[in-house]
Amino acid sequence: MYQQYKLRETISFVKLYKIMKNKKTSALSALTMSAMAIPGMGTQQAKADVAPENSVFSYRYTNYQESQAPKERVFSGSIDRYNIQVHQFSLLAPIKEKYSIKTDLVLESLSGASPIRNEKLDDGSTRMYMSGATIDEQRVDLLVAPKRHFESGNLGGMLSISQENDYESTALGVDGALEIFNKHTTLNGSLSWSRDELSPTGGGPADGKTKDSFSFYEGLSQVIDKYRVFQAGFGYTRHSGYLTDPYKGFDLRPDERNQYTLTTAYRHYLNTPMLGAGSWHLDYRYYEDSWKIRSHTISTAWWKDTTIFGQSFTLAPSLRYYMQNSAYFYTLDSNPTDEFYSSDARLSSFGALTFGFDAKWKTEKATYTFGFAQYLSSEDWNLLEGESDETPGLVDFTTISLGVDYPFSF
Amino acid sequence: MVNRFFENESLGIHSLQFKAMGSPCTIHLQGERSAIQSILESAKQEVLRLEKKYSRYREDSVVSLINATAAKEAIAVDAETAGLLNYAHVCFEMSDGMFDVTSGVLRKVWDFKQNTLPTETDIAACLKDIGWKKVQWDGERIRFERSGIEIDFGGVVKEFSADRVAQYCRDQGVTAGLIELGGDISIVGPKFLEGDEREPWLIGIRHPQTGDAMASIPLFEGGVATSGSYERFIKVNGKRYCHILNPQTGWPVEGVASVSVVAPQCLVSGSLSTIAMLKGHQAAQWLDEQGASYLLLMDNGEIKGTLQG
Amino acid sequence: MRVLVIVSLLLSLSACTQVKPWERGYLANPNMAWQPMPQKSALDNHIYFSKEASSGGGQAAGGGCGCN
Repeated sequence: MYQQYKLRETISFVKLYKIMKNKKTSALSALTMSAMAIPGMGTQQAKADVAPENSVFSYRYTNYQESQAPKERVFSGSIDRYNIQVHQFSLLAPIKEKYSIKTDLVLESLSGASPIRNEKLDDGSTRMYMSGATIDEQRVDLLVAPKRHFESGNLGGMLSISQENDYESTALGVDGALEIFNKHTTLNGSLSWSRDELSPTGGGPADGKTKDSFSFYEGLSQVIDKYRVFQAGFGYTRHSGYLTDPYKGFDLRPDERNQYTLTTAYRHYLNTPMLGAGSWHLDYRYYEDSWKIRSHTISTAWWKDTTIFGQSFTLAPSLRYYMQNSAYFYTLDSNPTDEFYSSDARLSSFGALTFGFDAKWKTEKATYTFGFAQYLSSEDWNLLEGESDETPGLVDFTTISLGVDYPFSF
Repeated sequence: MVNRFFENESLGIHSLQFKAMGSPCTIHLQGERSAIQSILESAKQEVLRLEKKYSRYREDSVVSLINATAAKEAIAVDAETAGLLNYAHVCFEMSDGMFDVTSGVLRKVWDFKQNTLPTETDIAACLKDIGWKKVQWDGERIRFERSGIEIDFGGVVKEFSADRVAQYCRDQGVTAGLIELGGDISIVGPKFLEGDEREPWLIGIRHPQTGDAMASIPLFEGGVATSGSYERFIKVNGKRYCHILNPQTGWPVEGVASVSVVAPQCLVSGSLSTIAMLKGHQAAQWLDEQGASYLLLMDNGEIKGTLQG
Repeated sequence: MRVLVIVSLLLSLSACTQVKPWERGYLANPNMAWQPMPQKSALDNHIYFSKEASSGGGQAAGGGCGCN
């Protein structure tokens, strides 16, 4: 109970002398350093970047369901679009004090149909040619990311493999963070490379073709004051190789795509008269690429802790608005004649809204999560574009998720 | 000024009140009752241990041993005492010699129970025994250059104890609590609300004369210490002489009625507030130069500081 | 658009204050994290990558899949 202090090394006087000779050192920092050197005082200062204390195992199940394609526009094929079941497993474990390793496993199971092509006839009406309903297709994605934690930052690596019966992707990455200005500013950077290989069912010109990607991101996070943080970043990704969708008809895309993003994120701890205390999230991304697609994404959410029937919950409603304009080679022409062409709705001009709601239920042993989202898209919802040509093939979807986070110690 | 905290009606905060170091002490820890009760008791024992070790009123304390021996020969000290002596040295340098642990002997000529002032001769004689420069401290052994010199940890031991006991509680696994030793506060950790949410302790600072709240500071961690001229003083011919004495002149300081400082350690808060008092009318300027968080009440009623509002 | 982002970034940097260690609690709240639900964010990014033309954001692109 009583601490018995043995005679041991005290702070070297040479060091102290040097500190005091430096006129720029204020009394506050000299006294703090000297106080911390007294045995039994512990450290309350800003902590070094350390590996997490506990290991955490997380599992999340999601049911993704697209709305049916509009019957009157479907010329052939199934009107039932995709249903995807997703199982996400994640394990984050500290190794000693300075290392940690994250392992993510994703199992996806997909069934349903998708548009093969879209067409606009001379009379102005549009047609969707849908595929037949597919049987279950699976995807497995494994990612391993070790990290080394330092006094003022961290350095990490990543290796991931994604496998489907007709597509394989291998990726390698490095990332790092550096905290400066007394941990008020963080510089983030990451690089990644990936090599994808196609082997579409039924063979075809895409069989055996590859796609290479290189990506880098550089960002800065800044503490504004005790309630607010802000982040901004720039990213560049380059894809080269076979970029055409092998399952679409009348689809030929360039063999290179350069993408640029500018992102900002804002978090503000707010105490409001009506909604109480919570954290307001606001994110914005600007995107443009060499296919002449430009997009804006803005999302906002309100994360709030609350107690219901004596239980601890976090509730988070969210809203996301997205708009993009079309790729320069997007066309609904029956007989496209340009060098590149695609009627894929994902390359068209449209806007989309996502209404989301997430919740966490925190118990002593684990945290349970729930999520719901409804995504609606329309060619009329691109607010910056004058044109709003009918865009067949746009999809609406609903997701419902359930998950659990379980901390433990090895 | 009296510091009090405002307790929120949350779950499981258990407290222990007792008297030590000449002041009322309170330890608040949050957690499961049976576990907390035993930690409260042993935390109190840790306060009493430090009181016993550094009290100049006890013959068996380390301080009394040093004061009895160091003038004759160099005496080795344990690591905890060495840490405090190093800290005292830094305080001396950082305050331009105003904060001096050898200034305790002035109590021999200043009697705050009577209303009489000492004579200049008395003070001059006393000053001969004051001065950290007259102490030889090499990091392991301490020696006084002349007999008559005494060291007194009274200016640091309460604040140090508050921090030390807060750390002790954290070492026992308690992550929410507050230690208050006679107005010097060290936070174990922020309060738990339902589930994972944490809430800061609200530290109230009261005006020493009116008792009104001057400020209410929310703190997640760190320490608060207050120095004031109203704690102990004598009044002679209508003039007030407080108990904080300038070690270079032997006379009390003037200018500051009360000062509270917030810092990551209560020990540092206490030293900064004491040095601020010693700086008198330059207190606010010195505290601003240090980038300190403070609330200052001057003798003329002026309120200054970064903790206002 | 780029100028607007850079200007707002610089403006906010100049308004920054030093947060004392005892004030850190608000920023340390899990709801203030960039991604309070990492698995949800990862899946959302994957879904939007599959259903929209844009991709990327707060980190390098990583691996691909046949979904786009």
